[in-house]
Amino acid sequence: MGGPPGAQVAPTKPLTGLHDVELAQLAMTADRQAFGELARRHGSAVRALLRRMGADPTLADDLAQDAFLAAFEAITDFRGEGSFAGWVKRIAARLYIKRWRRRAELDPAPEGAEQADETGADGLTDRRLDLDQALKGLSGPERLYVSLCYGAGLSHTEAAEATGAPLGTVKSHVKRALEKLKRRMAADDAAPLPDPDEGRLAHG
Amino acid sequence: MADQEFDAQLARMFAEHPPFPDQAAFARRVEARLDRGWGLRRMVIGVLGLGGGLVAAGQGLGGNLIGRLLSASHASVNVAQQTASSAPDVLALLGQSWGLRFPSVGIEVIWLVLGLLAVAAALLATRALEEF
Repeated sequence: MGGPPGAQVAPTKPLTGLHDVELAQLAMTADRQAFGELARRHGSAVRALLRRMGADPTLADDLAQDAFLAAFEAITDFRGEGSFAGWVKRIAARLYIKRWRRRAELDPAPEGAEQADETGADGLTDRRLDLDQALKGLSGPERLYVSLCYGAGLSHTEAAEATGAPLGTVKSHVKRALEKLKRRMAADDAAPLPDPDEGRLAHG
Repeated sequence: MADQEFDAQLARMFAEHPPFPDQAAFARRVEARLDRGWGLRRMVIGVLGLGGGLVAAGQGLGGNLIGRLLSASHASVNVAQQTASSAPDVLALLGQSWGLRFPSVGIEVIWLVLGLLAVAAALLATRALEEF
């Protein structure tokens, strides 16, 4: 995406050729098509982050849409100092936290409970590191906080403020999550790649 | 693996994401919701404006505003006539000095012009609010 941040919007260019900052400037003039282009560019990143935080695909899509609508309402707050995707990710993360807190109040789950790894211990078809699979081996809070800090770019303090949790709790969840992810990565690195022919039906 | 290296690697992995095949459809859904919100906002503003106008009209009728305006207008006409009989017409004087002739106008016309100016100002303000 070429063009320096803060450059004047060139109306003759097609929207796909404009920089995020230029599109945001157009969106400030209520240009909804320009904002749609931003949603097309960064929708996947926001949806992926929400899924990594623990949202199911439907909720992730709904919250990502809500995040983009909220971003459009507050578009004048975006000054191009950071990336547009990072800005919307933070908005989306805060929306998810609201849901997560409400759900946690209604249905408090034990913090240490890890989610079931859908692939099982030896069910990985691809032994290369897969972040999405690795995150499934974390507990809900570990997954949330590590995604907030590494995916949405929040500091530990910001994550604590956003979730209302004590700073120490956030730090310990992130620390445990990192240890588990590191172990998982080391195990995946050590494991040999599967034989591509393994498991195929023999012909002839 | 060093902690810093691992942190950087993890941040890179979070920055990468699988491409969603329906990203165009997702963007269209966002645009559709924006359009819906925009239309709803316009409708709410319109309905509120209509309601406010009706309330204002009701208050005006209920308070005999038109009657009072008419009587005020008549009183102004009387004052203007008395002034005109005792003092030279300002418009006529101006016209003389610039070599122009103004038609004589009644106070009703002035009220009408002022009213139209007020409506124009309201329209301009509405347009400005919509744009900015």
